[in-house]
Parts: sequence; C-alpha cells; structure tokens
Amino acid sequence: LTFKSDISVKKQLLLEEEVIREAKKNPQAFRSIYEQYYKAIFLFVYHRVGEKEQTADITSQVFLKALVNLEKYNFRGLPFSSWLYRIASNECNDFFRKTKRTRMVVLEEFHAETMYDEMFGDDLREELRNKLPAILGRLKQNELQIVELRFLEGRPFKEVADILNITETYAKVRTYRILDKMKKMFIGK
Amino acid sequence: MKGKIKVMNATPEITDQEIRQSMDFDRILLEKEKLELLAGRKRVRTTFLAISALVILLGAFYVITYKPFSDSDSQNESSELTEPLNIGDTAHSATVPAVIKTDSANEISQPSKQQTSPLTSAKKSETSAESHPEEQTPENVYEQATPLSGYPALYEYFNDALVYPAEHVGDSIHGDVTVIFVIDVAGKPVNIQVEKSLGPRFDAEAIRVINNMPAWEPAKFNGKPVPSKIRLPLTFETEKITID
Repeated sequence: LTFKSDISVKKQLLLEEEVIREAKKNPQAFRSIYEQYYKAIFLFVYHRVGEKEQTADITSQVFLKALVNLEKYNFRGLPFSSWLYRIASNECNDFFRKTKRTRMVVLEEFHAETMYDEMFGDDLREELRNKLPAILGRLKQNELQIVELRFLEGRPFKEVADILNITETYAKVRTYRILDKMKKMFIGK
Repeated sequence: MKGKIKVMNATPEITDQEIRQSMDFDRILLEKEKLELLAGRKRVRTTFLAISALVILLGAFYVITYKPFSDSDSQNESSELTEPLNIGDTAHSATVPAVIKTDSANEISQPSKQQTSPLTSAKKSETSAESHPEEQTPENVYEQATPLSGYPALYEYFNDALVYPAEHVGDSIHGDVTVIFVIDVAGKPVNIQVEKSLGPRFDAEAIRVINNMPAWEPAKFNGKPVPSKIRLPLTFETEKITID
C-alpha cells in the first residue's frame, strides 16, 4: 500500500514540474497551482496575521510574486510548496515590519507537546504551559519563526530549512540553540 | 520584535467557503501584466533619460572647451602644444599623443603668418574637443571587483550559508576567520587561504562558503578584467543569551 502511494506522490511531483515549466511560458497554466495551494498559503498567513481581509491581500501578493519570479524557481530538491511558504513568510515579515501590527501565534497543545518534551520532559509541563506565551513574546522575529514552523506547525526539519533557505543541519542547530535560550528564560523568571 | 505577539490557544476558525471567496486568479494575471508593462515603460524611460543626459553632457563639454579658445591668443595655443608633448614623454600610449603633436604643430605654424580668425579658432576648439578625451585615456582606470548582486546580498548569503560547526557548539568559540582569495577574470574565487584561523573546522566552513558564493564582477584595469585579491572576515558566533 505504501508502495502505491509513493508512486502517486512521485507522479504528482512530476506533474507539478511540468505545470511549472509550462507556466513559465504561459501564465495561465499557473492556475492549477494557484488552486492547489491557495488554501494552505491562506491558512499559513491567516495564522500569523489573524485577519481575513489582510490575509487575502497578502496571499494574493504571494502568488503574484511567485508568478512574476517563476523564472527564478528551479527544481533542485526544493518543493514548490516550500518556495511558496518562503515567499509567504517573507511577505508576513514585511507586513509586520511596515504596519507594526500584533503578530499572532497559534499555540495548539497538540503540536506544542513535542516542544515541551524537548525542553523538560514531563515535570514542569504545567508551569511551562503558562509561561510559554510570555517566553515566545521575548524571542526575536527570526527565532519565533523557526520555533513556530518546527513545533507549532509541526513541520519536518527539511521543510523548515527549505522555507528559510538554510541547510537542514543549520536548522537543527538553530532550533536547539533557541530551545536552550527559552529554557534559560524559563528558569530565569 | 519583543512583546508584539498574541498567542492564541486554538486555530482561529475559518470555513473553506470563506477562503475560496477571496480567490481570484484572473486579478493576479492582470496585475502581473500591469507590473510587466510598468517595468517595460521604466526601461524605455531610463534609456531615454540616459540618452538625453549624454546629449547634455556632450553639449556642456563642448561649451567648456570652446570658451577658453574662442578668446584665446597664441599664448594658449603654445601651452596646448606642450601638453601632448609631455604626455608623449611619459609614453603611456605612444601613438595617440604623437598624432596630436603633429596636428597642433601644423596649426601653430599658421598663426604666425595670419591672425587667428574666429573661424579657425572655432575649428581648433573642435579638434581640441576631440583630442581631450584621448588625452584622458592614457590615465589608468582601475575598478575593484564587486559581487554581482551587490555587497548586501553577499552578506545576506554569508549569514544564511555560514554554519557554526556543530562539533563546537558547546565550546563557545567565536570570532572572525579572515579569508584571502583571488577573484579571477571569470569572477570566480580561486586560491582561497585562511589568514586568521579559528580552528580547522571553522576554516573549512569559511572556505566552503567562499567557494559556493555567488559570482563576482572581476576587477578591471582600463576596462579589461584582471584578477584581484580580496580579504574578507567571516564572523562565527553562537547566539548570545540575554536574560533580563
């Protein structure tokens, strides 16, 4: 069964590659990509921005940039979705920098479990849960971004690295460095 | 980024229908076309600007060089004669000044016989306007090598690509690795050497990053690409942990 699904995933990638190659010549071909990823990108932005209209604006900006810069995208191990998330992530950062709006962070217990485990195991979980919002608020923009992608959205390191345009090893090194920093913040106060 | 976040304990609710409502691919196509049209117009405008600037510059150059000679006497002309001679002596490029020398020698023989009429002086200023840029070319022009995408982009690349060696994460080693390399005529780094080392792992990482960096515009000497040496410090640091 897994074998079967493997093949279908490969097929999908191949198809996507073809569609993008076509879209470089004819932007109309981009429509299927747009329809396929619109919801995912919309939610990605919405969970950070928290407002429907702004989110719709930013999302269409993401696809516009993707379409305009499609020439620059090439298949070297980078999934197209990661490339879209990268653009979305940058657009969100720009938005917060320009508007000074409050940035939203969705902290679902289900996803944050891994992070609690990484930090202290079971013992201080309740206390950590209470303090976490304050600790997240003290992180730098890029630190919060990596914690969010990895733990709050539960993405694999490979995808985190692709979105942030860094190596997988570096994504890991940075993540654990930030967790250390958060631990120290937790103990400090 | 301190403070300005709001943590929500659950995903905010939104229906698929609401999301779909904001979809509008045709608008994106339209905006893309608009952007491209704008970019095209900009390009036309800049070339037009460049051409008009060139015309104005040429005009200004003509006026400036014209003035001293229009009310000139033979004194000015003789000083003009010595100039190219001097340049000929320094022998930067032997052919160009030699031509000028013979030209102006021919001219200087004439004023002794007939007074300089406005017509001939105007003619002279024309020839001098032509000869001036030629006099300037022997001066050697050196342009430094620069990253093709600019220094800020290069530093951004270093920020992204430079990985603190994982083996040393606990050692709190930090500081600069200074690297010297040559940008060859193709804009590629060669002969990479470490001038100031932090240890073999750091050096290897620094060399890796330099090797993979985006291409450079090579240095130019009189417009011809030449190899040039670059020295760059690369900073390794672990996150500073501040607890306030």
